[in-house]
Amino acid sequence: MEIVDKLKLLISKKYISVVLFVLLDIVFILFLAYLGYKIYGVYTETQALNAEIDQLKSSSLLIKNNKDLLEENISEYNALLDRLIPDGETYFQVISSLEQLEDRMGVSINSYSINLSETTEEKMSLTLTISGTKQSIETLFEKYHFSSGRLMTNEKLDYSREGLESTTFTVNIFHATADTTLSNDVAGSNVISTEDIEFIKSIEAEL
Amino acid sequence: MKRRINLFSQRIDNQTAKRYLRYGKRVTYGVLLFGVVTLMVFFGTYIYLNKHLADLKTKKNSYDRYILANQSFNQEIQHFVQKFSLLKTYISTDAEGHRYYQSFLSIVEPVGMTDNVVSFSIDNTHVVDFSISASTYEEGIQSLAFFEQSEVLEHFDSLTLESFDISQNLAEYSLNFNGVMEPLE
Repeated sequence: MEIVDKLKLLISKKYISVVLFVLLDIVFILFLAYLGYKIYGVYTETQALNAEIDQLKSSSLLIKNNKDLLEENISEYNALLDRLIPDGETYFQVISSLEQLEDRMGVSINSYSINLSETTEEKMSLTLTISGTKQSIETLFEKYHFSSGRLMTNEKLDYSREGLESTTFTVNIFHATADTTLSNDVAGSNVISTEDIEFIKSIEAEL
Repeated sequence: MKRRINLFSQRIDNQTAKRYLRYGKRVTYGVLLFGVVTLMVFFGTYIYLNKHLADLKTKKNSYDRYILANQSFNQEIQHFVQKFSLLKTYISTDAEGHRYYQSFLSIVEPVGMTDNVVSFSIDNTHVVDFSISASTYEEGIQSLAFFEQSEVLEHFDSLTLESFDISQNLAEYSLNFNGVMEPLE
């Protein structure tokens, strides 16, 4: 009975306003929480959109900065770059490039071996055993970079007065796939200069 | 059994309830006041963020339109930039041995030492090893003196005489040097 009396007292007219206020507070707090959640959602969307815009901005800048210089011949330059650094590597491509190197430099490649320890996912390191005249071998040492139709590099060159007619020569050939999108810092700031184009044209002339 | 009413105890309970209710009322008003302020801030933020989002969407649409209009070139330039960047990276690992060899020959040429260069090797960090032959001891000393000259040493970051040997069969002296060449332009 005492409890019932107390309850009656609580819901009497005198305290009903307080109870209503408490209920209103609860509803109010719930509404604030909902609004906070909505704000967080909009904020997250803004952040995602900002990142997307950064990417689009750098792509746009890349287009804008290079369109005038490259638009006409870019397909040709890409074909050239794909020749130098193809997306994949096959045994026949390697043989073909070595044959082209032989023909153009006037040397004979007697054998080649793959340096497994130096070979990576993108780079194949080959040691070539070469014979030829002193002059042809010197020409090879000077012009090996693009004469095979591929990009070739050499990390250490050994000249020997006595053994120049027959020597070993280590070269690297490369292959790599271009990703579909560039990172923002690479793309946006990238401006191809006329020197770069001249460089590509000079390679084209060597092929 | 007689029922007894404890009036004193009921009075105390009422007072406690009143005190809690007063306290509750104050808290309620406080929460309401805080809520109104927070609500205003939240609404302001919500309106600002929505406006900002709308601006960003407009911006994104304009970029999208520009890229779409240049879709083909966009793919080509992305491909070009990546492969060209790889090309430059790979070329930078090249030793450029022939250029350095020619540069080295141009250093020793004024003293007619080009034919005396027995071997020369250089890697992509410009670490160089070379060997010079001399038919007499005096010629060997002259070669050594030549490589000690400051104008010759300008072409090297460091240069050390590793050995000064004599080949008994050929009666020929051999000076073997090791060092680091200055990078060429």
